[in-house]
Amino acid sequence: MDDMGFRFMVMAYFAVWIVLFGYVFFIGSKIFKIQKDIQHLTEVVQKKSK
Amino acid sequence: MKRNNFIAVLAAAFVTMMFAIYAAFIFAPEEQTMGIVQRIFYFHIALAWVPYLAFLIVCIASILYLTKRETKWDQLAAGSAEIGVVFDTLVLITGPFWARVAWGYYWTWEPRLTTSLIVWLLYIAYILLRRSVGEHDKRARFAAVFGIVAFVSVPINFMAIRWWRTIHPLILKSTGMELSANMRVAMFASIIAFTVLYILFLQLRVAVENSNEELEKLKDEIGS
Repeated sequence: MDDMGFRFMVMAYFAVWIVLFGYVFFIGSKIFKIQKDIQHLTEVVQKKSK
Repeated sequence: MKRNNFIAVLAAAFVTMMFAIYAAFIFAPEEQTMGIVQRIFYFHIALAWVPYLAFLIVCIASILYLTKRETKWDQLAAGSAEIGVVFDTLVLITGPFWARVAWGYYWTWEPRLTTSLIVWLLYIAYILLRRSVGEHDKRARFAAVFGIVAFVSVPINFMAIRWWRTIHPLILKSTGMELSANMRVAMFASIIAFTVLYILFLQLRVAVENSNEELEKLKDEIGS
């Protein structure tokens, strides 16, 4: 049981960190994409106002 | 998002998480009946606490949005709901790993597990609702009402192991906790660490919502 317990404990902790890092990556990529879009649209607005 | 504030929370999250890992694996003694798999419990219980907190914030922010009509409350509710679902997903992953060893099966339709799944599905529906309504004010209003109503499921989920006959362990009893002192330290260390992590994620998520709003304004400006 202990060998099985150890395997399942490792799998559970591994799953926790995979999901959490995945979520951080998801938020990070979202911020990066939005910032890029904002930069692009700001340039468009500036050109339009000229 | 204030940079110094964010760095302080990031540092706090790192330190508390390191201590939580140390406490769960080294400081806490091995439980005699279940053995090493019991160590899942320290993270599982902390992971389960965060959705309760996150969904309470959704409910409070939704009430505040409906009374004040300020976008910041809608943004807070949106961010908190998403983080709550992420942590709730982890509860539904770690629980069955422990159950497979302790009970012999991953899942059973008993009250705590069933209500946990219902809570998870309700908040996934909340996120889907937000994505399906295009108009900002309408979306915020619908989501706020849903966020308040859906919160009813949270206390039911918490009380499920007290109201109905269940095989799920009950740690927090009216008579106290059935844990040794070191086990309690490990459990509270994990709860604090994951709460700080929730605050960190919430800061990031609200920053995303703010940037999104800025983007929408720019789009409107170009369109007009």
